[in-house]
Amino acid sequence: MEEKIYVDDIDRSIYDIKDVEDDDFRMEEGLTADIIKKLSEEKDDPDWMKEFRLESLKIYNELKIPDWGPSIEGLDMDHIATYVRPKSNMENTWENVPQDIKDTFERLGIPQAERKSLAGVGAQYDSELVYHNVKDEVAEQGVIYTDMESAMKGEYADMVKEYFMKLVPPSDHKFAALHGAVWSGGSFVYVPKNTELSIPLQSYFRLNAKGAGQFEHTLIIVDEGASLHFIEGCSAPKYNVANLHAGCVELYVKKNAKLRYSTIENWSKNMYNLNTKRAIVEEGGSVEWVSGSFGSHVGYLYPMSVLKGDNSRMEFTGVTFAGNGQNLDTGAKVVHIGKNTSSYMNTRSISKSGGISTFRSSVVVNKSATGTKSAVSCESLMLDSESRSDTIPAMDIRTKDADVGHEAKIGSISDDAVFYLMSRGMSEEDARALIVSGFADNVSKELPLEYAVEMNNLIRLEMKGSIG
Amino acid sequence: MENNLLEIKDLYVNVGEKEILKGVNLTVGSNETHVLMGPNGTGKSTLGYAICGNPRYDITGGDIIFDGESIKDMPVNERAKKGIFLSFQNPLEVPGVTLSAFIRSSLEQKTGQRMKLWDFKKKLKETMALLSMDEAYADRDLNVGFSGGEKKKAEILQLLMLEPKLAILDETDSGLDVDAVRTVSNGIKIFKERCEGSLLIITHSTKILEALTVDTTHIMESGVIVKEGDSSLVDEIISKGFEELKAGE
Amino acid sequence: MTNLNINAMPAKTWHWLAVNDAKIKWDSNSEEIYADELIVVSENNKEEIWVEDIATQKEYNSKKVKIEVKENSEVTVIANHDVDNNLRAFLDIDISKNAKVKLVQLLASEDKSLYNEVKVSCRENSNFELVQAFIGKNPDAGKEYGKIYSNVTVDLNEDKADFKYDMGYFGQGDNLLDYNLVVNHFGKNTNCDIKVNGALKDKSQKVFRGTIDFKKGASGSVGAENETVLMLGEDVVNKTVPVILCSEEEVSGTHGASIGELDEETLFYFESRGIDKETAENIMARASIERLVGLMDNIKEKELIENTLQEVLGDA
Repeated sequence: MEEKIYVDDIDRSIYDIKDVEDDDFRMEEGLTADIIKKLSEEKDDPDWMKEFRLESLKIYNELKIPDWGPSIEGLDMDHIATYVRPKSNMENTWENVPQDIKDTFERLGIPQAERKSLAGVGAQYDSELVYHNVKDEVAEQGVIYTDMESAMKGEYADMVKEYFMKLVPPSDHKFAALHGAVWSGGSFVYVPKNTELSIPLQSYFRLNAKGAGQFEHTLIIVDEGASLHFIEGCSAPKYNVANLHAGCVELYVKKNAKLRYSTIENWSKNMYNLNTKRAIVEEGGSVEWVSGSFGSHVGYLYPMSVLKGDNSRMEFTGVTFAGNGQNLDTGAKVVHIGKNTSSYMNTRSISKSGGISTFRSSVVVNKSATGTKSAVSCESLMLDSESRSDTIPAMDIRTKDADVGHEAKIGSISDDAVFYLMSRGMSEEDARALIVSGFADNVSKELPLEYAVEMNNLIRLEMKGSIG
Repeated sequence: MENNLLEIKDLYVNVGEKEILKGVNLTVGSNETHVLMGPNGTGKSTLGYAICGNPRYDITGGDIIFDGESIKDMPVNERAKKGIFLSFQNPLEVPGVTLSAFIRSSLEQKTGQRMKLWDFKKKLKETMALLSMDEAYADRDLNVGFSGGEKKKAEILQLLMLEPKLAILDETDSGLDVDAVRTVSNGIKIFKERCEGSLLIITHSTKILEALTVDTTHIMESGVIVKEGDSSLVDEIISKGFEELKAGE
Repeated sequence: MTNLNINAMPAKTWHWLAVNDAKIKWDSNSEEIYADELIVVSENNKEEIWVEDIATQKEYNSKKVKIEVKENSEVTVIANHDVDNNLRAFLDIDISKNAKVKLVQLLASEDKSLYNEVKVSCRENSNFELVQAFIGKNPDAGKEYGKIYSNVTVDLNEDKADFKYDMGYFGQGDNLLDYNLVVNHFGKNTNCDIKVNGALKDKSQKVFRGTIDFKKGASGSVGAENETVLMLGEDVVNKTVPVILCSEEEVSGTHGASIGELDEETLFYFESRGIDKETAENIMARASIERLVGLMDNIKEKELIENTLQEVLGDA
């Protein structure tokens, strides 16, 4: 027998298994200068970082909560633990990771993936990395992949100081400021000139602690002529109190370098995902974002590309699936500065069972950006009338020598298509799931096979019980 | 040869990365009528666009001589002013610009002076009558809401008003009913008589040629001219098809 | 002087884009406010109504007109706002069942601010057609270029209400053209078709916010929005925000925008007839407005637009 037709919530069992909290350290809840100082001491920050954190807190207190996106009223910053350190040091051999944490990651398939097809893996559990490893041959190429803390204090201290939150300054918005104040964990990647990594690096983020925040910082520098594919995955078990993710990703793509940044985000549905991602691309460089957003209660996510150098380019391919209780506001931003730059956005949004998805974008073409080409294509699928789907794109064009196009479509699954598949023996539920998977194939086509499979599994899970 | 109007010499043309024309040689003399035939997708339209100067068609080798001058690097509008006219297969719809205003602007560019409105209207009216075109079309937006036949007539109207030296007709007869083909064919005949211009007609059928005397027929295949002959070649192709023609060689 | 907040989008986006609303400088203290005017067109009638501005001594003026069109009537409203003073013009139209209304508006200014607000409510099977021409004229030497604002809200309240919108604009100098359009689909099987075409020269700026809002219950509705912007000046600024909001499954919404210089295909067609790029651009700039003339029914309406166009762009 197939699954029951009426199912309240989907089976997310492998993501939902909670570990018993056995923290080494849990910061008291809330946000005050004292807490920040204490955090800084716990982490043994260099002086400049301590100052940076306090300054960021000041900015945080001055900035307003955004009034244009989904409500974040349910998020009470006075009750979020900003720092939870697991009982583990950072390990580079899997065996040494504590058993319960290891079990969690193994359930999620992390070490297997590493053995099979990754050049390196980092795994963050709550606020700190518990595992980090890079394949020898990759390390021999001079590729640096390490946790941010080590990078900040070790050999690359100057580089971190030079780039840290320069692209996303704390003044950018309230949650960037929050990140500046309380960040911990995350990865630092440096790919030297003309080095091509043929297989991807991956980071996996797991937030286990209840009522806590994760604020990892990812800093990637792809030097001239180099190329990298970086994958991040995120998940968390569901609690009935709010968790917060306010990470920050800064990507520096140098002259003629290439970076592909793929994300499968599957936070639990009590998560407030207020993440900031940004890339700056120099002459002839390219950044490609591949983004699947499935989890979170509330999401604000708009990777931004600054096309600074001439002939630089960006591509954004995204899919967002908003189910029951979710309000996901996603999209992308691009600023064209250099000449003959190009941008292409291709997104799909799906809304179901009362979920709200919003596609939001901005294409800014500066006066200097002559010869710009930009195309945006966004499609939305409404699976029922309890849900909501909005499309809010904006274009600000300041040179006549530009070719900017925009296309959007909103609609529902065609009954004819469902009927056709059913006439070939498929159940209605499977037919609809297949159509939705096909609708989202702009992203699955761009992902490595294992991730494409995971994504289609997530869609199938979400589609279960969709016939009412 | 002095009386050659158009000389295409060993012409290579790319569209994007793809090479479409691979060394085409073709000569059209003054006041001659040429027919260009060949299977679909062999580069006939590409040749038309390359002569006309569509910037998307990249000339990678060879030359195009028109009226004794190489025009291969000349902008489209300059070629038009020199007397090259292309009748489009799918003429563009331009809302807000009337057919009459469009033709008047074209004439003004060609002659460098503005024709008196009264004289222009008179000539336009007369020419439309020759094509049995409703006068009302003059004030309608260019090609907007025109039927297939009306669009083609509008192209021939432009031909007769602009009086070029060479007219390239790219499947001007395709998709038209018998009456419309007759009108168009008649329009082309008037062009020959009035302007003593040359014609390069890209077509699949003989209907459009009925009112004309064909001087030379060219057969194109895979980007080169594979056969040339007189008007009897047209009938041969129509009766036998391209494959058999080739097999008979 | 006060700042009036106008042209607010129903759904906001990032503040740094400065598109969520507009502000207009207004001296309410020295404003001449005319008595509201009510025009009722009774059932089964056919009428033409002209709304003209009155030349006054005051720098600031505001005027409100309300038109009620009863069942089965057919009305053409022509509003001529070629302003010589700063003006706020309010027009409310109620369209009853099976009635048809066509509103033709000329919005033009040399150096003044014009704010045009139109609110239309459409009942079952009614039909509303809006033709708007925005023309920025040349001011006298030393004076600032005019600012034209327009805010149109159309409520398709009941089944099969239909809205067709054709807008054309021409901006030059320092002109600011700032539009906000909101179409609310409440009724089932309602339809809207929005076409916006315009050209910007010199340093002119334009903001177009267009929102199609499918409310819950508007099943079977279709909305389409399309904008083409011809950028002709080195210093022009174009902002386009084409929003679709949707809380109903069985609908279909599309929008498209194309912004840039004259497209290759059109340019090639013109050039193949010997017309150079600059001439082609001028012809196409004019065409954005000329297109609207083709949608008008009588000579007087056509002349209204043609004359203004000639004033600005010279002979065709």
